[in-house]
Amino acid sequence: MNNLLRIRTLTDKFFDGDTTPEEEQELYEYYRQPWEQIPDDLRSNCELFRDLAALGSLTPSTLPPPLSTIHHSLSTHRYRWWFAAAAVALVLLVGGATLYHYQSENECVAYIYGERVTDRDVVLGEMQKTMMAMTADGSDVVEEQLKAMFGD
Amino acid sequence: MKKVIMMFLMLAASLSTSAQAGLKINDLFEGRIIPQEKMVETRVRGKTLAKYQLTYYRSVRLTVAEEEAERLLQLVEADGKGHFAAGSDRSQKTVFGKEHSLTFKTQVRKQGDKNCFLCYQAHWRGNATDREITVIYMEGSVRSLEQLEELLKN
Repeated sequence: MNNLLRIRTLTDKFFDGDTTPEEEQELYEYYRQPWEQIPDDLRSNCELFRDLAALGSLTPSTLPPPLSTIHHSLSTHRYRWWFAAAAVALVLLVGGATLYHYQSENECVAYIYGERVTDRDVVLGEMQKTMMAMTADGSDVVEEQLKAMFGD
Repeated sequence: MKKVIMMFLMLAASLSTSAQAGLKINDLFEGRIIPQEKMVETRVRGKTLAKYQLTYYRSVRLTVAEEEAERLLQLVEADGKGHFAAGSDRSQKTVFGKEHSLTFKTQVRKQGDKNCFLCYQAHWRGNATDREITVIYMEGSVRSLEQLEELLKN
């Protein structure tokens, strides 16, 4: 009888959240006995304490990881993906910028009525002709050509 | 990380900005006045220009009506006044009464050792209303257009 009274007291204490791990272990042991040996008013607790006892028997290695650990693992995983993606983007950006910079530093191109020309001789020929015409005021070139043709 | 990416995006954007940006005549170079399909554009940058003491050369050649030619000249003259007051030169010549040319040369910027020049030339024959226009933008350590002329002759 004393034991049953203690179980009742411990059960009430358990639902108040005041039991120690040892007391909880004692309750698990009690509720593990056959159904028929438990008084009617306590039978409704059997399922709960057997489930809790089963959970308690799991070793740390077999326990599922706490939710916070899962979140931490997921966020770490996601962070690594973001970092890798950012690193790739950065490499592409730097590479692209370097290539663009190199090309723009050594540009030699002409667009002749919309048609792109990259032949170095043609582009530089066009440039020199234009510069000469400009610096000689154009007319001087014409004048020299006419003088050569008809004499002074 | 965001800051680094933004920095590189800004770097890329700054690299893509054209050298003569900020000038009124830039609209012509960018094809906003006359479609680029109707002009001859030449763009040279780098070691090729070293013998002329230049680092960048860009020119456009096109044929336009007299009024359009005048408008382009006004843009070049405005750039000459607006950015750098020194060294503008405007001259008009007629050869044998048939060949006409109007030339305007100016220095538009001076940034340290780098000088920027803008040249405009209109050329036409007789009473023709069409003008063959050439506009050149140049950058480099060359001190003046006279010095450039000397370098071209040698």
